[in-house]
Amino acid sequence: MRTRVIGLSLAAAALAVIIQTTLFAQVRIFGVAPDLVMVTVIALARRLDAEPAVLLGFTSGLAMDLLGSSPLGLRALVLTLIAYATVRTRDRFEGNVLATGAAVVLLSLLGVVLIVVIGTLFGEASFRDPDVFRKILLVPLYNLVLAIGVLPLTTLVVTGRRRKELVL
Amino acid sequence: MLVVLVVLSFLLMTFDIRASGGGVVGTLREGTQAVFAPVQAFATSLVSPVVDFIDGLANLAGLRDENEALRQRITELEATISEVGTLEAEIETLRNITDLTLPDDSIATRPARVIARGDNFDSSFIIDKGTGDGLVVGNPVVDEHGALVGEIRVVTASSATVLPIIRPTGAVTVESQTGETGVVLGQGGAKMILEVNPAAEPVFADYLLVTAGSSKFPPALPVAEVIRSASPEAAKIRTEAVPLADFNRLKFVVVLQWTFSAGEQDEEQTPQDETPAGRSGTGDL
Repeated sequence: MRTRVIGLSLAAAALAVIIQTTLFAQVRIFGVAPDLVMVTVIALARRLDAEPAVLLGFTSGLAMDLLGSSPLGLRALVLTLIAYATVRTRDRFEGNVLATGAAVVLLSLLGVVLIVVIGTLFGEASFRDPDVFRKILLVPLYNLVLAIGVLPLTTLVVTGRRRKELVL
Repeated sequence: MLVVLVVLSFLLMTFDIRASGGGVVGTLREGTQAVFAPVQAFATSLVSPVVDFIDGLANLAGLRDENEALRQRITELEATISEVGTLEAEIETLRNITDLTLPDDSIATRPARVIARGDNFDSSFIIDKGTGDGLVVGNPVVDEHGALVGEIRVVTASSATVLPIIRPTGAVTVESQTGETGVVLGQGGAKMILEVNPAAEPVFADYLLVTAGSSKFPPALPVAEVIRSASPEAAKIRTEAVPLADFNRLKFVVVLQWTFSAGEQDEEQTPQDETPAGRSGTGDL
């Protein structure tokens, strides 16, 4: 059962990576795209045990790193930390739609800031991007909108059943 | 587990930077790209109608503002219009690519489709041509009008990653209309910085900047246009320019099958000339 859940989670993460690099590569509102991979990691980390959750974050981030040109390990590190933060805080927002929405926004904000800060430390010069603050602000908001669909879907995938709290 | 993964991530980043994208990391990237490229190409063909529909809606929203009287008719035809408009734009792009004339017409070209892109903080993108089409690492990439887009960083049998010149670490040696050479620096967005040092002549808005010829790019490729006039101060000029290629709407590009030959070394600039002072020398553009 556990293996099946992890396998389904990995498949969902791989699908998110493909959609992120194709659909959201072209659909950018105000020049910014949502971070579907981050939302998927947050959504799956809510339902997985701690170890599979951080491994999933690491694997998803590594896939994004390997398909891009930024330092290998940057997104792996960030998504690992986001998955860990989700696991540590999920009890506080479980079952509360508003709290879950706020958590998605805050975790996404943390993720984007980490990408910018750690990326800058490793020579990415992200702060030189004139749109950096717009991206930092918009990505969490877009992720919140995405979460409305992604959270119920991932719960359905992982648990195999709908949950009442999954209006969000 | 967390500590192991965090340490592993830092090690990977350090190793990647030290290897400048080559070595084992480069092989890993090539392998991953080889696996994902066919899936991404398929996914792109699937999502293109969705993207075209969204583009069409955005365009129609503008038309509605300007043509209130035609609103009803436009609404009825919006699906058709968006589809036809997108197809026409693609045909126009392909026609431009076919008619593309380069400053050096001896350079072979290879049109390619953009099949995937990085996220918000990664401006690189993947094209659907690779070593099987004769592409090699370092080949310059231009848009349908011949404006410089970037260069090939990683190449597999059927795909390649393009590093764009607007990347925050990007830099291209250019020549202005006055004949002075300088460097345009990527900022990650729609604006670039032009630095001329030493500078004797002022630069004016609308000045066209073309590649000066270097180990990375052949000469005379259009790169950017100056948008703010500036005069030398302490024999230096630093002003703003905009890239000529529209990086947000790139769907097709042209790869120039050109690589720097050692024999040109005496006449051309060294690779270090492409990286201005103050930029990290990671071997990027």
